[in-house]
Amino acid sequence: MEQKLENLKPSLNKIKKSKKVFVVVAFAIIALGFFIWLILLNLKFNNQVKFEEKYAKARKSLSGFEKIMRDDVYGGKTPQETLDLFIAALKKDDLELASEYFLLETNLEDKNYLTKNKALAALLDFKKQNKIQYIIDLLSRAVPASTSSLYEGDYNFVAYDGKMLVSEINLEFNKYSQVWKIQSF
Amino acid sequence: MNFKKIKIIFLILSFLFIPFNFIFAYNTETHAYLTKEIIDFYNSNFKTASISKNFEDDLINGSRHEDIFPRWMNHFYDPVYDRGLSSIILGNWEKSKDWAENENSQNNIIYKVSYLPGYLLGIFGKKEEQDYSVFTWQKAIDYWLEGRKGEALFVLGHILHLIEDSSVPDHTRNDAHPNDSPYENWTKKYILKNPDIGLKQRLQGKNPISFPNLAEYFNSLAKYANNNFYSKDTIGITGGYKLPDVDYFSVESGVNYGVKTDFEFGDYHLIKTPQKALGVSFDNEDFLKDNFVLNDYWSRLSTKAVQHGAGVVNLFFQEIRRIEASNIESKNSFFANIYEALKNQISAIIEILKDSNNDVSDSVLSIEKIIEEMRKQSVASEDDVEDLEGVVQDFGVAVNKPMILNREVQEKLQKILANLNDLVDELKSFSSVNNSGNQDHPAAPTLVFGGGSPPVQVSENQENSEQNQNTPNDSNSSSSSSSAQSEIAETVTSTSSAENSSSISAEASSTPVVYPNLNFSAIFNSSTKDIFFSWNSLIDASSSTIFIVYEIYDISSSSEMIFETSSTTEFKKEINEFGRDYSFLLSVVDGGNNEVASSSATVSVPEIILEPILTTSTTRFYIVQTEQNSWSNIIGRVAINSFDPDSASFQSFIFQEDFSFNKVVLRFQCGEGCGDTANVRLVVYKDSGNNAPDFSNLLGVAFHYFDWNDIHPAPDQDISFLFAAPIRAEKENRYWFLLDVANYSDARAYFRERGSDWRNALMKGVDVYEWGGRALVPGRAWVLVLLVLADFILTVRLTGI
Repeated sequence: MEQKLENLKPSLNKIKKSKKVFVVVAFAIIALGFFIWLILLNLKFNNQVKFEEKYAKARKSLSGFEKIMRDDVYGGKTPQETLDLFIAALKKDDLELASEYFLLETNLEDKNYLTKNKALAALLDFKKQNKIQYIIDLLSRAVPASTSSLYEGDYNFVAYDGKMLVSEINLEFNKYSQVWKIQSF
Repeated sequence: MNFKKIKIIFLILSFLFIPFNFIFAYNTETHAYLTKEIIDFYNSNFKTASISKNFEDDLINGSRHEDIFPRWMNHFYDPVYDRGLSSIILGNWEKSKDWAENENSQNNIIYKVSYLPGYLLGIFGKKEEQDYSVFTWQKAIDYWLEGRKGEALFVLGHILHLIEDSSVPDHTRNDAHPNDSPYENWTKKYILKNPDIGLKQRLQGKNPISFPNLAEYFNSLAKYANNNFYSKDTIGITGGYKLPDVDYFSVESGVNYGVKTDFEFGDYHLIKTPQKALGVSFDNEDFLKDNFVLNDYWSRLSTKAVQHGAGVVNLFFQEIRRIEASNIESKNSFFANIYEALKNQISAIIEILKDSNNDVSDSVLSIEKIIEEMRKQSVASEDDVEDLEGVVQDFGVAVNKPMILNREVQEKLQKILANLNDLVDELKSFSSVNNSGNQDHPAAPTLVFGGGSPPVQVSENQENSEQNQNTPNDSNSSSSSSSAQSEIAETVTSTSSAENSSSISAEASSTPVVYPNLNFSAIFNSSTKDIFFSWNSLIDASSSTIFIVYEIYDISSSSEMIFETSSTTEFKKEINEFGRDYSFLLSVVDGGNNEVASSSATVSVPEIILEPILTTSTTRFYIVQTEQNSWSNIIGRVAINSFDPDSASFQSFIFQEDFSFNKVVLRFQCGEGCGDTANVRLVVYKDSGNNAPDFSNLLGVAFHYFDWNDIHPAPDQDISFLFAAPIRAEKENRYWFLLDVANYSDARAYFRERGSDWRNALMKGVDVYEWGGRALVPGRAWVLVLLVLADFILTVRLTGI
């Protein structure tokens, strides 16, 4: 009997050894799986963080847009009032103030987004060309256009030279600050 | 969770209750209006699968609901650069066509959190929604298959919103600018309470667009909007897109327009050259801010949006049908497997019985279980039954063989044999009923048994005999025919009726099955050179129209299927061969792919000499009457509910040559006192022969929307009326142009008189009529009284085709 057990020892040892190997391999596989899971989880988490950052940035930009629009209070309660204020500023040669009566740039991709830089640059240019008085004269004889408003918040003046239409002057309503702004002339 | 994460979530929560009210696309209520138009157009084209009134609000509310922040960041799709909203300031967002199908994206916490306040406030309804943010195409399908139809259509409304946005140039040209799109600002006047009456007119003669998948709808519509229209900041090649481009320029009332050729709707104003003394303009808005330009944009884009939207709704139901059919197919294959197992077990027993020492108890148990399972179910194919019968016969022979068997086992086997024979008899009884039908039907019938009355099929011979009796001019035979039909009707259901020349089979069901007359007809139209098919709609065994498919076969030539539809009951086929007879078969197939009815029709097409096709060219000319400057004194009114006659402005024209036109330009004048919102209608009638319009002979209608509260047309301003289809005027014939008010914003009758109010150019001389008496009955009645008024300048411009 003892002899038989002795003979079985190597086999039993082999089984014990292979059990150990099995446990080690199983553990390694589980560990590897866990590790991969952690990587994926981290990847997902990072993606989510990036997404939420993008969202927060967009949200901030849009709320910033509203604030800047609300703060843009230069202008009149009627289109005519805004036109008069603009002409008055030009007459005082206060081009910075005059540029404030223009709409803010709303093209998201424009480097002048939410500024009036373009308006100020154009007025300064007209001053160089001695055209400020021409603008004053032109806008002073502007009358409401009969077919101006395409939709709520849109208004047109027209200026004639004799019977000839020389310019349309377009204004838009800033609903955030409740004033009319000059868009073009 | 790290600090950064906590900070971001805090930031999100801090912004939660700041409302954003930007306009980046159609106004929410314009979406609601477009969705209603889509429903109407879908219903008019797919009458047999129309969306009921009960579900309309679900679709409309769904289309409103998609517009909440930040969902709308994913409402852009630029087909040229294959991107969604791509902005330095707002970031890069998902393409709308992906967003519509991406559950993972919509499941993001951001969309759930931002949706929560609206949900809590009950603003957006649908409190039973479990997924606060997932409104995908697949979700809509899932809901429908679960029987949650209202929710399914609510989610489908979200998809329609995205489709509608694909018709906005700004959304397909990556042009986001808060509150600053002339097109979007201009179109927001079109809402449910103030529809664009011209839209339905434009849709006449048009069909829903059909594509095999949702993405194709986005591709098609976005490409159309991108390639043919400008948005404010993407005008010209510097806007980043090669298309569109101006084809030619046209000066109208002193304004220079860039015009684009359009063979579908007629040429349109693509862009206007603004009249600026100094060119001080800091954006491109002036190029688009014009009634002609914006009206031309809207009239095309809204029409396309509705055509695509209706196609999407149809695709949705097609998808449902496909899934249902696939479920039935897999169910059928499941039964085929059961039968196979049964046959195997029986064969095994037969083999076992050859050796009396073997134990058959396991196989006996298996057979008992299979029979039990089969009895619970209800579908088997005819071939399976035939096979089974053969196997059972073999089994009977084996069981009844004198053998040394355990008595208990033998009793069990005898019992199973009896059971199997009953089963086969039951199946065969249905089979015999079914086999009496038309063997030529393309679809193999499915047998149905258990739970309900047996299926019924009316035989071809039976129908033919009825048909022979029921000839249209044989009044004597009509009663007998009716009687025969009644018998059939009683056999099928108590309310159904059988049709001449049609075979009808019905599945047994606890739900009554109603098959009205198909009334399949084919009529040749010599002017359009096509055959017009029409038929009555059927409903399937579950009282639904959703799963019925109509197939039309040309059996006079190749017997090929020429049309397949699930929803419409009309079809036009252009033909090339004349001077011959055509025969067609209409086959109606239900969700189980069974033919439930069929009908044939024959049409004789006479020899036709084809006229040469006229070359298309555009002609513009003015008809100017140069008398004193004076204007008509009415536009008109419709006195729907009173005895007062309707009124309108009239003018007739006699053309010197044959002439087709699709556009008429008139002028209007508005005094101080005018103010209202109305759709003014221009109608073209033929002459009655008595120098008056023939009101029963209408040739075309066009509308122009006016808002006189704000817009006061200048005396020299042209107002365009665009007809959906060209009007062909024959030379030396008189045609009448009639101008009146179609409706007002408050839907009340209306009448403006000369003086301080508005007037129009369409009225002159001997053609002048005005209302002058009372009608005999309330409603539409024209009472013509000749008037002589002062002269005026008439400017009517026709655009020829």
